[in-house]
Amino acid sequence: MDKSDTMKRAYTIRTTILSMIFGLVAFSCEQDFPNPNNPTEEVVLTTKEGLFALSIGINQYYSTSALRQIIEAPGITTREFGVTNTFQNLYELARGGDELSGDSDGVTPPFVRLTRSKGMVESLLSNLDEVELSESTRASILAYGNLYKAMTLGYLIQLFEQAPINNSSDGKAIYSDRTAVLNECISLLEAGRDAINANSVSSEFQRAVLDGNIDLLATTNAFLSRYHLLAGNYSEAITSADAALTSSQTSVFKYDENNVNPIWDRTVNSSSLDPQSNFGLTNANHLPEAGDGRIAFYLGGAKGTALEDAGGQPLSNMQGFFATSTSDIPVYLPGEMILNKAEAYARSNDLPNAVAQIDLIRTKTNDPFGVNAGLAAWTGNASDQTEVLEEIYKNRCIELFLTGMRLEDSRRFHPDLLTSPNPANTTNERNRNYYPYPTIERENNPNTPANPAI
Amino acid sequence: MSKNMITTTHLFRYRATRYLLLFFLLILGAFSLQGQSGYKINGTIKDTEGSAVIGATVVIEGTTIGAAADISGSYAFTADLEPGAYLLNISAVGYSATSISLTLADNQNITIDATLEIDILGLQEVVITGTGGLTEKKQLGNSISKVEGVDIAASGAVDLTGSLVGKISGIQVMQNSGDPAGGVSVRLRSASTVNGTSDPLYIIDGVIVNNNSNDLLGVQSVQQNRLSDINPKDIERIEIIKGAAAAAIYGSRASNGVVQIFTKKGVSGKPRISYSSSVNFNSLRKKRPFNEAQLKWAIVGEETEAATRFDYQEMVFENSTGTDNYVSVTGGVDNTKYFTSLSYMYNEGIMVNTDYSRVAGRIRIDQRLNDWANFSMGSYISRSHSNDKPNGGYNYGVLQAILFTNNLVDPYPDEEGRYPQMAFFPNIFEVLDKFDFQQQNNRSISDFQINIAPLKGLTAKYILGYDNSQSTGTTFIPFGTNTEELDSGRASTRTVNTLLLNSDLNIVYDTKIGSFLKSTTALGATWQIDRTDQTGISGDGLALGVIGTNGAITIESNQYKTEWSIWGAYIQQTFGILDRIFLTGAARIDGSSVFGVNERNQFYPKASVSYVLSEEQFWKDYVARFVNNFKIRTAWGQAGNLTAIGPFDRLTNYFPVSMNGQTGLISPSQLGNTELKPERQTEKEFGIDMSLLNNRLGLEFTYYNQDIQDLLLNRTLAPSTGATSRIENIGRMTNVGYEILLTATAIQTKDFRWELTTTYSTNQNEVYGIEGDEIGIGNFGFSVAKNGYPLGVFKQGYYARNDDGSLLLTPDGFPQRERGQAFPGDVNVPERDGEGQPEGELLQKVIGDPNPDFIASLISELSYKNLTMRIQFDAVQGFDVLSWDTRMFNRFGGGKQEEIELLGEEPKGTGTKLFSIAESYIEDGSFTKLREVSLSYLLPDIINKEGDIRFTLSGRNLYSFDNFSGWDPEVNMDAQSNGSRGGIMGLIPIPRTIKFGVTVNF
Repeated sequence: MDKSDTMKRAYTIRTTILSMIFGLVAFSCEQDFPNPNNPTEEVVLTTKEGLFALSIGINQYYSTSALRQIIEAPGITTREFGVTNTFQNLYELARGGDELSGDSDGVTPPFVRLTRSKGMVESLLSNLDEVELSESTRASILAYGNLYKAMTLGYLIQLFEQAPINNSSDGKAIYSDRTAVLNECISLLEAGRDAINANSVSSEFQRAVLDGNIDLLATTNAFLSRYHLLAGNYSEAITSADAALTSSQTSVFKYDENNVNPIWDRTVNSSSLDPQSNFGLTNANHLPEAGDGRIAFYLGGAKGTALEDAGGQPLSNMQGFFATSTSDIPVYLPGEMILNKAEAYARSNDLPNAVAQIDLIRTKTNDPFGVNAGLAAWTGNASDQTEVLEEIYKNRCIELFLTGMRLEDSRRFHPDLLTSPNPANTTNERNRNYYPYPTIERENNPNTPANPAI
Repeated sequence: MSKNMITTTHLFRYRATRYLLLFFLLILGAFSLQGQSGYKINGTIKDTEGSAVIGATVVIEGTTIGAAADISGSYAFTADLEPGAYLLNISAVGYSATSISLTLADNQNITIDATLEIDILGLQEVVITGTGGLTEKKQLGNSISKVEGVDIAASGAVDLTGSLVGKISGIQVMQNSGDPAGGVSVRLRSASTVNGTSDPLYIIDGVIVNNNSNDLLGVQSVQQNRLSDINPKDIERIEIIKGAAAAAIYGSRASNGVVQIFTKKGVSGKPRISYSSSVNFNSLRKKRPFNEAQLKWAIVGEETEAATRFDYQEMVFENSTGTDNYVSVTGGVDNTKYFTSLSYMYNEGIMVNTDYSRVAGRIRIDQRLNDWANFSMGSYISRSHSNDKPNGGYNYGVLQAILFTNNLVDPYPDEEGRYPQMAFFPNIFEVLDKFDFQQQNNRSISDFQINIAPLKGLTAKYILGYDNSQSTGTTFIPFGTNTEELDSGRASTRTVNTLLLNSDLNIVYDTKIGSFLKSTTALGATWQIDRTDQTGISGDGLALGVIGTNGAITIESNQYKTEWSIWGAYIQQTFGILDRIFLTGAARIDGSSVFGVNERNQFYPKASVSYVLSEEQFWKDYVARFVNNFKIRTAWGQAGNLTAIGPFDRLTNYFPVSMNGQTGLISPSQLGNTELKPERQTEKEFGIDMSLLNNRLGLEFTYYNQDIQDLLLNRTLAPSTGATSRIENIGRMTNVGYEILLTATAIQTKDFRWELTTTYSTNQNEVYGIEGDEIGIGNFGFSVAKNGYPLGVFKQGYYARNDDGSLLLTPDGFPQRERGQAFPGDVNVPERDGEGQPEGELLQKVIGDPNPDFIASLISELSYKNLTMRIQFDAVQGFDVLSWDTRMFNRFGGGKQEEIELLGEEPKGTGTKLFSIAESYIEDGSFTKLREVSLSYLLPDIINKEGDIRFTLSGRNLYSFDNFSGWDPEVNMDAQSNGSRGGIMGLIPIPRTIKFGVTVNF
């Protein structure tokens, strides 16, 4: 080989090796692949479209998965439902008492789904300042988020003695007692109410998310009324109830073929649960009166009995807000506002006003949802506070059937019904005051409070 | 932002294509093809017995110039080299390589003959897997196994993995179904993950290939794995390394070991054609005992009356046939060699109306560009099709219907063509006749390789690999069958497209430092991508006459796409001291897009020592006459596994929901975790290779210890996090075992040769770090990963027993489940009531282990002149099977148990009791199978004194020595599942096959 050949050869070798390395490098550029199947947190929480989509998702998850648990678990505990299936979770709730442990799949799902809903709302609210939004849209999302957060937190504190006001991704969420939680609910709702009053709900949010199904302001006021009442702020409860009652729009959760009415699904569409006849009321003072239009509204014909070891109570066909797979479920009932007022007056010892509200409920024939008792005015002893309160309790049980309020109401009206120890019971008005905290929470969160005595 | 990213990605792809084109042009331009008018070199290669060494490679050292010996052992090639002194390297499989000096001077025609010595340990064999470059086996500190193509072709298995059974130690090949399209699982040493896959990394001709198992039909047990697309007849050889100690340089996807497959290459000379054709006959090896008492209950438990009982097995199984035709053409002139093949295989299943067919073609072209560079290009295309029937535990299926039906039902359709319902399953004939389940696969694998040897001792190789598979499964149950819930018809189509791309550069530099030190440095870099698109559509309530979902009442569709990449580089350094001590160290940096940014780049080291003691003078003087060759080796290394999580599992992925015409997003119950990293195996290995008795007996022994850390498992979260779980690197697994390979040439004369090969391997697997002590992983939750136990043990209820171990019967005389109190830490305290009967809660414990105590094989190959006989036994011993078949046959009337009860041999109701005691249907699955028997006769020199014809008669899975009550203990309900093994319910057994074949070479 002469010199030029050697040089040529060296040149071609160099070129070849460089080409090989180049070939390798030309491909090695992509190291990050976006997930085309699911948007990630970053995508959802940093755009207006993402926040709107999350808002819709919150309503979807809340109205199907969470609402089922809000109604079902306390419904079984307080005999609104009779259990017709040997599923362990249902059976454990029906028996309750000391037998109900944190391991039970009866108490775990309500806690899991409410905290999960709450987590979504917290993500929504905490990223509100990260996204550029018009004032009215920001106010709308804030009010919407605060409403859902107050609802999830409120239902949690109705079922558990304490609740974590804020979720914590490090697994160390801190629990607060009932007073603190109710105060948080109230301040959330007040902030939401004030934001809408200052800016009104944006038409964009109205169109994209609310879709005419929920009157944000009225619902906020309605839940304010509820939590004020539970917190013992009676005059505020009355004011808020009045504010809610000024709205002519009803607020409902809507369902479709792919997202069916969850209580219809658990009763009509399944052999697990059915409503108990007479709303599950057995005390003579609470039995619905003949001719009460609400009986026919909520309950159909007889449908056998509950399992013997789950109480064996007579059952009825499901009607009312759960009759079909796509029946609307009200977010709150106007009747609750009247009853909140009645109770607030009664507990403030303003019995004449309380009785006036009781009569309003008893004689109602114009309920926007058709929950009309159509009875005569009350004839009981209007000067006996206990008797007035019992009449309110009875009407709450009937009017607010399967709204997730019965456990709270029973505990509030009859606080001393249960004492510890409390063996399993399938026929009492209720068999627990509060649920034990789920074991998966206790095992993974060191701040989980001790279980309630009962 | 994401939009921008997509645009950039597109731009990059476009650029990448352009660069690639440019790159090819550059490379082709770099080679100035020179005229070829050099030295003509030829000769003959024989072994010590005087037989031609077919396929021996002859190469001039430091160049790519050479040739392979033909059927008569002759080789010839032309070398255009400068005059001077060269070395001619001659090597062949099973022989010690040798080098002969060659002087190129005035004489243009040079003849060099050589005689090769048998190398029973293969110490001089050259391997490439795990080393980066060609390396003699004696240099390796780790074990490596090799399987020759001829052994694979001779095995008679239709698919590649099936043909590996019993061929090497430390491998467990599990054929998960006897369906002709059934899948296969391969474990090298053992499982090494809980949630991922333990199947090895497969590389074919430098291309990392897809071996996914996709459930295309929605029938868990009927799943192919994609290696079934590969025609085993094209294989030249397979190299296998089994764990991290050897595989570290393959990085994050190598902890399960690596199986590297080399397909045939062209041989210079005039075209040679090889044609083979075979026909095979399949049959059911064994019928399962069933209820043949021609009786039924008149009064249950008391009185019987005559009845007709049907033999359903007779109706659904049949003897079937298959054919396999294969033709290959190879040849070439000096600088260009080619190999092409075409095949068509059709095999019917033993279940009525099932079959599998595969048509495949391969082409490889090797082109020498000049004396220091060559390139090679190969392409493989195959298309397969199968007709399947639903079977296996999780769904309706033919065999389940048999298990669940009291065989009093006459399954034949009535006059109006209505098929009677069988239990709660579709009628067997209705499924066989009317349910149309098919799978179709298109596969294309291509590689482009450039090899250069630009300087003495320096070689570089670039490989671009491409593997595309398109799989489609369709199911169709017509409108109007008599099956409840399916009578309105159901149809589905599921498609999975997977593209794998790898781009690899390997550079090796060999040099001598002084007179006693030899150094080999290997450097490599890789980039790999995997893109998978899945789409599915299914419809219920079909329109009359439509074979598909058009017009269906409800239609569901789904789509899922993934994309991920791996990038990495390694360096490996070997020092050879006096050609007897070899020290190797290597390190790989490996990154994968699957993991969070901070954990992407991982470091995997390895180190090994090999000492060929028999090269020492003292050994040669004193020991060699007893122990001819002796090598000790030890290796340590780490490698990863990333199959336990999907490409996007580290992210918090929101889920789309739609409601009332609005589309929203909800947060997931599984939180993302950007701190995830690959599972990491650390493996230690120690071994001895020795040959005795004048190289007649070879022994390879390997002990290994694997510690797999950072297993990716789901961890439960406090619900107050807003989620319920997160994947974390929390698990751990260990494997300890040893492997023995014994090779003996019992008799060797010129005409008569008897070779025996035996393998034995054992492994002890244990799992740790499972949160909450155990997780269910399949088999209806009976198979669990449990701390302190081997992966996939069965945990369930067990018999109540007396102190002496006998069964504690109920007052009525029935066996029953143990009861008592269970305390944390698996402490079960049985309790007895006043009558001495069990009371308390039903207790559970570990009642079986599907992992074998040992796996062994024995292969005997006898040849006399042109007649060869081969026998292979495979044994898998000491493993349990969870036989759902037994359970169902205990409970339902079609089983033997009902016959026993009808005949009054056991009280009525015994079977029903056994049904609910899991221990009663755990069976010993241990088997020894007569896997292969073959007889072949070679008729040489038949055509023009050059061609030959070989006749082969072979049998596969002829007989099984086992105590298993069912059809076959080898299959698995969860198909290719990693941890859920040993579950059997309604699975097609592996058929017995007799095959007659003819191969013509000319």
